[in-house]
Amino acid sequence: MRHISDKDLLMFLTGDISTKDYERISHHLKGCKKCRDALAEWQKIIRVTENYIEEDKKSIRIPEFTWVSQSWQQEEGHFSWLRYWLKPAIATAAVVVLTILGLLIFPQPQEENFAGYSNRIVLVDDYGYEVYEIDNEFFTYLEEAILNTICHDTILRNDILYSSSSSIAELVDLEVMQ
Amino acid sequence: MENDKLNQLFQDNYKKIFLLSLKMLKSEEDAEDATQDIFMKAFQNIEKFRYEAKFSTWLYRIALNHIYTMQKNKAKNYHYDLSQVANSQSSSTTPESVLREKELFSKLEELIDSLPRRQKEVFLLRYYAEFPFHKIAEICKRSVGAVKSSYFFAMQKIKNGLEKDRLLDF
Repeated sequence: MRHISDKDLLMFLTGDISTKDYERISHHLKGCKKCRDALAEWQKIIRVTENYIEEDKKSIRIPEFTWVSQSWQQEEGHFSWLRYWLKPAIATAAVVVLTILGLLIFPQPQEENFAGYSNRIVLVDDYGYEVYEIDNEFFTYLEEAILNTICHDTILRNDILYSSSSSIAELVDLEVMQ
Repeated sequence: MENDKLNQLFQDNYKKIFLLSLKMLKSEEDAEDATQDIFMKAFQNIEKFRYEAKFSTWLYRIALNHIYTMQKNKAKNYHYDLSQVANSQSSSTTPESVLREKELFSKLEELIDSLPRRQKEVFLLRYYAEFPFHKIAEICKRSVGAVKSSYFFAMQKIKNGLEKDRLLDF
């Protein structure tokens, strides 16, 4: 007859065993004194261990559970402050700083910088562009000249005149602008 | 997770975490520090808790990791006063049986202390945290079978130790 292993006897006592194994072991124990004695030994060990654990737990002084709620409130206050005031402020400041840096490092296209300046004219040719300061009166003159003349490469946008040197030379004497 | 609910979960597990820390670290002072650190870690990392595991499983994983880190970092020169258990009110009545019980408890303490790490972990979670094997398996990320084996080996060592010193002959 094959006896029940110590491990199975222990599991039988702890109750962590399948119904099938429980029935098998129970059936075996009825007819096997050796296994019953072994089971009794394990029972004794478990009882002694559990008594010890129980006494040990009683003897241990458990500190009061106060620190969690205290530190909790501190943390909560800390986090609320960060969350609702400091963090958004830092984030906003960071965005502003990054925007300024971005504008400094990557300037806007030149023509955009002239938006709104009605007294300037940008002349573009194969070598690049040049900006001329002109007075309002002269600008109005050029506007009219563009409207009345077919100049395919001269445009007026956002109060800035974009033209090639040759085209504008047809309209006015450039020396006047300089 | 709501603060009140979390606070309640912490309170529910506080005693067990402290006991586990004490039995592993063998120092009341260290156990108090560890318990505090464990709950602070859990609190600070609560957003990382993903509900994939049960809260207690997650918490005890943090606890074990923290305790093992503390064990590594700290010289283990303390000794948890065995007399605390031995001097506690004994269930025995006669002077002889009281003495015998003290001797038995001292030996048990010694045997539990000398268990290998995995066996000790399972033993303490089983008896001090009062977890079933499947829960211990979740916490330790091991199979239930492996956890049961560790428990069996731990109990066998205890049994052999007590039998060797004839402390069970009563």
